[in-house]
This record gives sequence, C-alpha cells and structure tokens, in this order.
Amino acid sequence: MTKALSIREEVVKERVGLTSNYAAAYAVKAVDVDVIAAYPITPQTTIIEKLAEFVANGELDAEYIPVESEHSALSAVVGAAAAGARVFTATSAQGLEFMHEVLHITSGLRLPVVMAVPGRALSAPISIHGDYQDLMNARDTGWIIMIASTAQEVYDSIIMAYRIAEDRRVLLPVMVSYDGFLMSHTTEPVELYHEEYVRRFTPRNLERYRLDPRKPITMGVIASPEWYYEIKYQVIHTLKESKAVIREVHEEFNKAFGTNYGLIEKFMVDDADYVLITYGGASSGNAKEAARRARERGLRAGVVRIRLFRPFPTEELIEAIKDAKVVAVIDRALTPGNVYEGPVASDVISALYSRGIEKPVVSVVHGISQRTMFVEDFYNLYKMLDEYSKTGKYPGSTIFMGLRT
Amino acid sequence: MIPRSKMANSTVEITFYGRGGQGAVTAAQIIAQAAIKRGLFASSFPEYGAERRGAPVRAYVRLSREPIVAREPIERPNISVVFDVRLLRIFNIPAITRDTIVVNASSKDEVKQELSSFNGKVIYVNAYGIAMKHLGRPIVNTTMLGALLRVLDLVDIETVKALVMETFGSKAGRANAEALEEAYKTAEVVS
Repeated sequence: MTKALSIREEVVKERVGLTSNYAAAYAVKAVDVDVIAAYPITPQTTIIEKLAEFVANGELDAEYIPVESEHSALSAVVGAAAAGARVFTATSAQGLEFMHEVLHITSGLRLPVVMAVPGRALSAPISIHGDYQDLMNARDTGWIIMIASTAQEVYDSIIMAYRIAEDRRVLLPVMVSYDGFLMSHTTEPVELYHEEYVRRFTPRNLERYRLDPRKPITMGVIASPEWYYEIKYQVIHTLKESKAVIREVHEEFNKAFGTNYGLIEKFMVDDADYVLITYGGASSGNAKEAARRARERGLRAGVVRIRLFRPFPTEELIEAIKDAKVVAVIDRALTPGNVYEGPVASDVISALYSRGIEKPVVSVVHGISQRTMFVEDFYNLYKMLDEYSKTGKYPGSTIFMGLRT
Repeated sequence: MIPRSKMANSTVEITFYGRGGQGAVTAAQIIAQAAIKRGLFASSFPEYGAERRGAPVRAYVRLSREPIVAREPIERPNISVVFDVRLLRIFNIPAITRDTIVVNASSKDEVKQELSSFNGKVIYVNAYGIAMKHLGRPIVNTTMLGALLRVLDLVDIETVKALVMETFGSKAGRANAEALEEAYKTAEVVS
C-alpha cells in the first residue's frame, strides 16, 4: 500500500474534476495519437470537442479529420492505422450502428484502432439517453471491449487499450465503453499522469504490417472460401488468447501507476450469498451502495463488476461467484426474443455451464434509456434473491425492473 | 424509504434547481471542481431531459471526504439551491429538502410566505438584482453560488472565484466573480 502510494506521488501530475468524456480526451492526448477522425453525436461529442481544442492549441500534434459520417470516421482511422499511425475515434448509439460494417473490417484487418463508446439507447423512438444497446449490438464484431465505471478508469483504460491493441500477440481493435450521460457528463475526480510516464508505458509497435510504398503489401483483399474460414478463425482465436495479454498489461499498469485493476472487480464477494453481476458506472455504483446497506441489515451481499467484456472473463467470474447461493445479472441492454432478454445474463449462464457448475442465475434488465436506477432497487433485488433462495423458486424469465405497468 | 448507509451519511448532497439557460449545470460543476481542488471527493451531474431554454432543470452535487459510490439522482438534498422562487412549488422543494434552502427572490416577505411550512434553514438572496447589476442579464448561477457559500464550509470562496474566472474567461469571469462576492456578502439568513 505504501509502495502504491509512493508510485502515485511520482506519476500523478494533478488531481482535477473531469467528466468521463474529458478523461477520455486527456488519455488520448497522453498516448500521443497521430490521427483522429470523428463525427459528433450525443453523448460522445464533448470527447472530440476537447480533442479538437488540444489539436488547435498545439497541445497535441495530430491530424484531426472532421468527416461527414461515422462510417467515414472509422474508415478514415482504419486507413490511417493501416499506414502505421496511432489512431482514435469515438461514437455512440446510431453512430456505432452506422459504423457496423467497418467494425468487422477493423478486426478482420487486425488494426489496433482504439475507440471510446459512451453507451446510448437506439432509435426508434429517438432517445439521447444512456444504456448499452449500442455496445451490445457491436459485441460480435471481433473487438476487445472494456467497460469502465469511473472517469479515472476511463482514463486508465484508454491508456491500457493502446498497449493491448498494438501488442504483436494481439493486433486487434479495442473499444472502451462507459455510461452515456451518467458518466460521460458527470464531473468527478481524476488523477492525470505526467505524460512521459504514459508514453513510456505505451511505446509504439513499429514492427506491425503497414502500408508503405517502399515495401508494398495489400490489405483487405478478397478471400476465397478455401481461406476465409482460417483467416476468420485467427481473429477468433487471437481474441480469446488476448486475455492473457490483457491480464499482463493490467498487472504492468498496476505496477507502473499504483492502481489495482483486474479483468473483473469484486466488492464484498468473498463470503457473499447473493451477488449482483454488473457492468458500467451507475449499475455498479448503485449495486455497491445497496450491498453496504444489505450488509448492515444482515444479508451477505456482494457485487462483481465485469470490466473486460470481450474476451469474456469466464475463469475470473466463476472463481468470484462459485460460493454464492444465487447471482443476478443486471443488463442495461436487450436481446429481444432470446431465452432471457438480458444479453450478459446469457453469457454468465454459458460461462457456468461450460465449467459444469449449476447455480441459479436471475436475469434483470434495468436502466433502459436511462430509466432511473435507484440504490433502493438493487437493495430490493438482494431481498428478492434471499427470498428465491429460501423458497427455492426462481423466476424463469427476465425481470424488467423500473418498467411502468 | 430505507435509511442511507453509514458511508452515505458523511456525504453532503446539493441540488440546484433552475431553468434551462440559467447555468444550473455549470454552477454544480464549479462546486464539484472546487471541492476536488481541495482534495475532497465530489460528483456532479445534470438531470438531462428537455434541453430547452426556460424548462425546469436540476443538477446534482455530492461532496464527501470518502470516495462517492452511488450514482442515483438526489431525492432528499441536504441543501437546495433554488434559482427562482417560483420553482419551490414545481419541485416540491420545502418537502424534500433535509436542511437548507438557498433561494432567489425579489423580497424577504415572498420567501417567508412561500417557506412558512419549512423547518430548516433558509437563505434569501436577491440574485436577479445582483446579476442585472454586474452582468446586465438575469443569469444567476454565479450569484447563487455566492449565496450557497454562506452555508457550505467544505469549499472556500477564493477557490470558487478562481474557478469562475477560469470558466468564464477574463472579462465575464471578473463580472461573475463580483456578482458572486456581492451575493456572498448580502445573502440573508431568514430562518
């Protein structure tokens, strides 16, 4: 602890109040990107506004390309990354949908693009408010996906994302997501680092394949059925194997910056009977506060927060929840028509099944289009889990919390 | 409603009530930043809804000596900062405020009348008058910050003034800082 504190004293330049969007912009500046291309969309816009300011006032020496759409934004950074540049873009909601085909192209071309995604609900009806439907629709595109829960974590995760994406064993794009509005527009303390420490942590990988007229190669050509499957399998295999690299980068980051990040975050889970599995800031923060209240009233409550979403942290999650009596997964997104409508609930169920573990899993959907999630809702959920566990009767379908009936 | 946890009890919760265009969101952010500058923990976030000029808006601030975990709207603020006396009824402020109401009104009598049922502390300031004098416009956010500082000891006026200067730039910043200073001096404890 003392060691970690002394590291913080050395690496931290200043402690300031920032929104998660501004924290993202400061991280992008600290890693010294070469090319930014973006198109504004709420609630992402303040990230790229801040970056435009950094470029305009000379604090960041980067090419800033204001494009005409999100499809072009991702295409432009794909091109720049293919030429060897370190790149960044950001989007939300309809913008991420509009990028969708290029999301697959980015991972298929093995380009280390980093993108910030403050999550937002999708049209129709039009909503500017936060949830994670946009992110969940992008989960099968071969990107590494991290979901942060504080502005500090957004800053730290974007720094880690460059190191992970550009690692020669990975070479895959990384999304860093977080709550639209509830984080993107919330001001909270962030400790910014001296940029030389960040740059030392994120050296550029100059060895990767890139478009260079002196050594011509072709990228993105057609693959015949004899080879498509094998090339795609490499992406799938690398994404799965990237977990070891992600774990390694987390350990090195913790050592270099005196932090304590893991692929999941555990809060009061060691002796917990009832565990809420969450992602993002509002779900996780409110669940933690609810766990404290539940503990003060004698319920052994805990929270496991999924920080690395793709590749899925199967072993870490199972290790954390193996002794719980029952778990509930809080989803802020929907998979319409599936067995359970909460997408991550299905992931947790397959994780348990894959290791032959039988454990009751309750699927809960809340916070859709920023429907207010109260601490009390999560406290009530702990009481419900206690009730299910005592009676042995579990709901066989998703619980839609906060829905007006 | 279930009681707050022990940790949450050490948190001061402030809600700013204004109308779109009056700068309630900026005021909340400035208070949070001032607290962060002094080494405290803070979070501030607006209630995003209809972003229209004139529509009632709320912005929340939590201040604490411990890291702040909860991310829910503030339902029972310790302090309500009310940018216009007419908002008291719209948001049912006397019923939900735990400790203190800081309110902009044109007279003390109006405040007494509106808040006769409220048992906590009331701070009155003629913010429209002060803002018109210094800024020439009825934008009262910095004026209301001055009145709030009379009852908030977690942050100090010099830090807030410096942040106001930083936020609004040199010329507008100075005028806003003067409005803040005058409100700080002239705000009256009604009860």
